[in-house]
Amino acid sequence: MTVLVVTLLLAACLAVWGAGRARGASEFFAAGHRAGPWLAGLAGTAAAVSGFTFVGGPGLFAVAGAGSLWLILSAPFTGALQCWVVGERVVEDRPDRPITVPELLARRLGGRAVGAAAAVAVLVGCVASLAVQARAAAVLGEAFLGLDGWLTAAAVMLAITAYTAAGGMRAGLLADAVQGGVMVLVAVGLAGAALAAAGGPLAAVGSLSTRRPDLLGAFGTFEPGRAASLYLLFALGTLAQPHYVQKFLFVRRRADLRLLPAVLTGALAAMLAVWLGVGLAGAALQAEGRITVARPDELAPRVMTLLGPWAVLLAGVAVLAAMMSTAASFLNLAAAAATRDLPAAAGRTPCGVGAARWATIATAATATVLGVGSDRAVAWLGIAGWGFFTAALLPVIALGLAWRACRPVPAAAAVATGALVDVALELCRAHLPAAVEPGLAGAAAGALVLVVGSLCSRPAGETTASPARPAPSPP
Amino acid sequence: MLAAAWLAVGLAGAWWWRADTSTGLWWVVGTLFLLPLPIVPWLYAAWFEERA
Repeated sequence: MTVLVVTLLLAACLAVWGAGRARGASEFFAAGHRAGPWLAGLAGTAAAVSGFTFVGGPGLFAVAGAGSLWLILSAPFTGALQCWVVGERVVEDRPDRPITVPELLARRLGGRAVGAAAAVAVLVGCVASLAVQARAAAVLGEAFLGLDGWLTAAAVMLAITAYTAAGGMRAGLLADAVQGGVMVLVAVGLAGAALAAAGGPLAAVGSLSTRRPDLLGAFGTFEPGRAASLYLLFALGTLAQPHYVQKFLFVRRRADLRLLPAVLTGALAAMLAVWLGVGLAGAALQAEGRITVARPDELAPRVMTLLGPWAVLLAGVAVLAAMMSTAASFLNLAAAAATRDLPAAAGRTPCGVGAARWATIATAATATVLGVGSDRAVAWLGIAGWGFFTAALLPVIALGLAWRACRPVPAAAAVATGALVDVALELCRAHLPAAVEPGLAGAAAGALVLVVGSLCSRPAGETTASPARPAPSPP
Repeated sequence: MLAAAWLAVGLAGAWWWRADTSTGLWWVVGTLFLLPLPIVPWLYAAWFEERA
């Protein structure tokens, strides 16, 4: 309970601080483009890493063993990949930069259709992902803090909404960076403590070699094809997550990109230590009979209980920080889509910051009710997560920002096609071959629509940039 | 090219040691995760000015 009260008090202070500073749209949605590489890197990584890394990741290791690592093995190069493919095309040394992801796509590709399609995809995906975060907050309260799930979810969402509605990403950026620092320290500490409890990494692997050899090897219990498709999904998918792209809107100037991959990669690798450390140690402890786990998600709480009350408390704080940073970005992105991008796509003047504050509150309330109110709804909404954003946005972000012949209408069709293919395949996932990932399949379908449509609709004789694109301006 | 070559070596090794409980795990963690951690951001920074 003390953790929740302290969180609410800190959020209230941050809300007061941010309310006076986020008066314009640029401050509210893009933190005034004032973040350096350390701030953007830590905050961006905190927003990218959700509670799943601390609870679901180790639990997945207990089920799939080394196979689960294929979700995170691309981490060493995703920071550089994002900066190279997205950052270098987004961060410009000019004052009138885009402040939302759909606005960025609409400006680069021209026309309103792609902005509208991207805004709808961002809004749907963000509300669904927020619902999952609210559900995770309820589980956090019950598993780590010993509190009522509803109370925890309501308190956590209230805290996030307070500073996100009042201060937008001006306050959110600062909160995310602090939360990122906490997550790095706690993740490394807990991973080390868990491995020490299992006798060290070599002893843990030795124990699993004799008791659960199926968890080891290069792919654990996964088929190699499934492991490879997960690797690709999480490597390429980083380019299409709107809360990942959003951090480039915060960056102060292009030169800051040079150091950004180092900060992103270092922070992410430190946070992922908990996946490998607690997962490996927990699986070994379970195999030795030192802990009993009924469901995979119980592995991390059981390991923390074995380590002691200090570990339970620290893990609770880290999961709370992970959820809050991710949810703050989703809230701001959803508010931007509803009050700025969709009106702009309809040819109307975007609403002001006041409307965005109300949209933030409405989005948080909707997501909390959806997330905590119904297990079935969350299970279904959960499909609109990483894979949904990958399917809908990867073609327009990876190809659309780089390929100068890309046309606006095929780009909008690519967003819609990717999203629909992903949802359709997710609904029949049980019947799909193991190597088929709906998010990747949706992205492939969207890319096909984008390429074929752009080539077919390209005006005769045109060989250079689309006329819809703005001419590059001097720095 | 460098990244593609490293990825090909990493995946080939993972396939080769897929059934070897200990070597398979350490190969994946070492070659595909730990080894490129410091190298990739350094390569990006080294070529940043050239691309700009």
